[in-house]
Amino acid sequence: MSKRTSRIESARTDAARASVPGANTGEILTKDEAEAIARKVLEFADPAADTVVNVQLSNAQNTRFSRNEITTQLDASLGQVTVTSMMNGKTANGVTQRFDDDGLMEAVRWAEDATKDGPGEHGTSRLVQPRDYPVPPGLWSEASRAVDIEERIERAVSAIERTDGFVSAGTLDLTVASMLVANSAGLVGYCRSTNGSLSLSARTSDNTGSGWAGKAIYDFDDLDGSAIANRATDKAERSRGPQAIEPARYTVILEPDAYAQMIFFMMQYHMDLASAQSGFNVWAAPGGGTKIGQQVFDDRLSFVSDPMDAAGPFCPFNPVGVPFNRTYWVQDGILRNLSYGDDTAVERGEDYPLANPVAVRLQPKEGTQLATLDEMIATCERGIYVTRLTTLFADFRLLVFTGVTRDGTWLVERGRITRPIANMRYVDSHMYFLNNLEMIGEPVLTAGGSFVLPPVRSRDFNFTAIADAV
Amino acid sequence: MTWSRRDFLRTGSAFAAAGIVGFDAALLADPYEAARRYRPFRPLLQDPDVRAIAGAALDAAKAAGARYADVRIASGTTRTTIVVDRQVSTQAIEGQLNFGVRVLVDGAWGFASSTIVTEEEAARVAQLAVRQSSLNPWGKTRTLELAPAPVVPDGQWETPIDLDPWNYTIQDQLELQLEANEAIMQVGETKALAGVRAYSWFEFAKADVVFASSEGSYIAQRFHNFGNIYAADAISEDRMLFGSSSPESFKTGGYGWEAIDGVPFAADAEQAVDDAIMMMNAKEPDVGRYDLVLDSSAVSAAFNTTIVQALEFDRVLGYEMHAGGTSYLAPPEEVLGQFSFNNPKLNVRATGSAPRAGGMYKWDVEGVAPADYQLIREGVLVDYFTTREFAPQLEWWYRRNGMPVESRGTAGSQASALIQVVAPSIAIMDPGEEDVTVEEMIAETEDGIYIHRGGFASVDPPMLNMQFTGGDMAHEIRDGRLGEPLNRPSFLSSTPDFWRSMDMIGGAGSFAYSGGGTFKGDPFQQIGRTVGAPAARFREVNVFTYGRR
Repeated sequence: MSKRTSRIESARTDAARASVPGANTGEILTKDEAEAIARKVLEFADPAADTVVNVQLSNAQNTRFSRNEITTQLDASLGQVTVTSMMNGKTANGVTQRFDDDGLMEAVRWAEDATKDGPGEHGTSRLVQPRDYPVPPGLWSEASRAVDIEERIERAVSAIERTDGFVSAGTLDLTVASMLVANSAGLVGYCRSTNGSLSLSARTSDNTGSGWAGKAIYDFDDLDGSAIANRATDKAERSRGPQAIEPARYTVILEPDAYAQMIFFMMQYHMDLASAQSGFNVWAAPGGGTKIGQQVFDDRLSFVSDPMDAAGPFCPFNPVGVPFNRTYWVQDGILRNLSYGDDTAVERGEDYPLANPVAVRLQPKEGTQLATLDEMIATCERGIYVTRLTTLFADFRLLVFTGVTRDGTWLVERGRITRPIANMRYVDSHMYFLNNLEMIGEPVLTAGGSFVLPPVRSRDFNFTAIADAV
Repeated sequence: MTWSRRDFLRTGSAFAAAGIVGFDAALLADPYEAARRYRPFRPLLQDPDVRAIAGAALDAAKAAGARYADVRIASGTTRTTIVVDRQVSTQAIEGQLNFGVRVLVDGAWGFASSTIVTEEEAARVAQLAVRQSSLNPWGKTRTLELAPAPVVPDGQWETPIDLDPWNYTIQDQLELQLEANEAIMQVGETKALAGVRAYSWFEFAKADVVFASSEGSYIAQRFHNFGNIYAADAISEDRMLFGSSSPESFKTGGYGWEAIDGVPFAADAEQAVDDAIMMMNAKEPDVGRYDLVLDSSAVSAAFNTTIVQALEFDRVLGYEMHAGGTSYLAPPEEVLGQFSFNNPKLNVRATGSAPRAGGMYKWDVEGVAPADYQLIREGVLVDYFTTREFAPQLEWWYRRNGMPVESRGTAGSQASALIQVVAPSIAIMDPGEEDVTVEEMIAETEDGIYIHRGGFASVDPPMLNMQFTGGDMAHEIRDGRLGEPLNRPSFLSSTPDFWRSMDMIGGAGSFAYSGGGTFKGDPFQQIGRTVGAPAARFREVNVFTYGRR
């Protein structure tokens, strides 16, 4: 029996001795259970109103560790019902965490009261008509749902044990969730998902080297704790004793996780057509209109959201049932679509709005020669290899970011990594470096989930200062 | 499967039997009749059912082997309205009802939470928390002794506000908000521009939170908060330049209805639009070294990110290495009493009470009252933000200095369904003894920049290297007078260098409170707290700009 197994065994015995009942985790609502709640809400609702109801129940498990020890273990169960009421040309939401009749009625009343006699103009909101939604492949894993506390801890421990000799901190998360949407036109959609991740930072004992690695999964069986820990400790070891280099523009090799946050900020805050038309986001064209139809990124790149994406599936509808169809926001470098509401959908004679799932794949064009990170290094004359960046808006309107490198940054010279370098501050944006591409890799799901991004090698990344702390 | 949420959902009668908080069993078959008779959620403060539910959680935790347990039960309502120009884009009322149980069996915290607030569920969740804590295979290697804290058997407190926003309707709220936006739109339409946008987001939040511990504390607090945004945005005709300004009359924090009622939105709109246009057209600063005068809001932004968060003891120990970041104020045994910003003007303290502060509380999420105490004295580090978990680790320092070995009452969490972390109470940078004004600092500055109305700092993970970007406004200072407006000047510094360079500090007249807070944890938590600071001057700071075209 291995040391680890015996520890777990003894922990199990301890728990049994404490006669703790086997409380279950990982419970969600089946379609029938959620639909019964939704039907009640629709019964409570004013028949004169158009009503949408969204029922969610999720269970999130989490094991957190610091200084090579588990510090907290969590289990959070969250239920929520959102009622959207549309009446008198107005729309309002009532939200409750109660699933009992009184709570549901309260939410209905909140929403309906707000649509009565209120001041102000609202945009158009029509009900989505009944339809079927596809079931995204791999979004639900029975193995993930069935994970119990012991298995979760065992997986976390398998990572922590590989960090002996380093100082490690990290988190293992696993969330099981169900969502149902129904409306008074008869629409019913149901989606369930399992999402998890393990990410870990490791430092060398002399506190000069730091490494990070992480992975998002849908199926718990895909989570290899020791592999993630090995990547982090390897980076920590190799980044020990870094030396500063002159901040300047350098070629960079970016791991996908390094720039995932930038893509998130773009998808979250800058994909709305109306804002672009009125000039308030990055896709406003100088002088008027939007940049739709213009080349905005390297022509080898497309941004596509697809709930059926095998690497990064997501629920195929938004909270009020608007379907997420496969959508090219950017196709071969040209901006094609921005999200819009129902006013625009009505103008265009469409049945429903174009909704933004804030999940996207950055897909290289077919026929593009894809490179591995090793190939990017091997063919690089001089550049910087970046594991991870902190990311904050420097200019919200122009989508420019600032932050620092962290957890593994190296100088690449004549085709090989030659030495670790001190962290540096940058001011840059994927709006620039995805137009200065030298090489593109195979897109992978990033550790935060939702974004499937390739590693890239890009020219002239703007490092502005030394930030030499670890 | 023992008691199951599933059974609960299947049988309607279970609701009455399970004793749902606030449930009225008389609500019967006819849903419309019931809907007409619905009553708002009962406040928790005096609710006997809540006491029973808290007791059920604590009893179950103790019976299952917990040596310590606490439970927080929260019931809240949030009313949000968003208006863009003249169109209502969101109106929502959101109810929260949930609880979280934290237990200690061995060395790891176990925590579990749920949105079904019944005695049965409380017991189930408490047992689950115990399992989380006892199944830690390394639990016994980590010793965790909580610092003693006074038992508060019957605590009650409410954020002081003047007018209860819940005596007003969502329509009342929208009416005032539409007026406020209209004022900006009307001024904007008189100016020749591609666009002026009025954006407002008003949110009243009320939360009743009950805290109970296995040591016998039982505390009920009601928190009020008002947020969030009211701004005029201007965009140039070629749509390449952008400016934004919030009317000065707009306040956020521990306010009730008085935050928006009788406020001169219309009178301030003209100035707000003019400011936005001025900043839209502002020139770039020339790169170089300048003396910087920062108003209270800009000092607060730098203070919050580079000092306040660095004083959180879990960051100092490396517990946030993977999430919120570490701290340059580490390790404690090498820096307490020894690390100095080399600036006797820098004095930092914490308090539990400040007028209208956002995030103010009488007892923290561990039931401990926040201490009034000093953290940095004349530039030297003397204490941290701590909790009951962390205070004992500073025993050596506290004993040596005759300070109490107890939590400073600075535990926080974003919600009762999330575990407690270290979160500052209200951090204050003391104003200078002499009543130096911003005007006097400007008058004594030859070649400088005045940064006002906020800003934000980007720091590296230990908060040692900072880049600050100016907020809504900035101006040149030439020979002691304000010159041209400048577009968002940025500066770079190391944190200790920056605070060492502070050579003038404003008096009490320049002191004000601003929004602050901390961002940490995994699951990630964002905990809003007011911070207070005076205006100040900083010598020879490296200023640069991003450029805009």
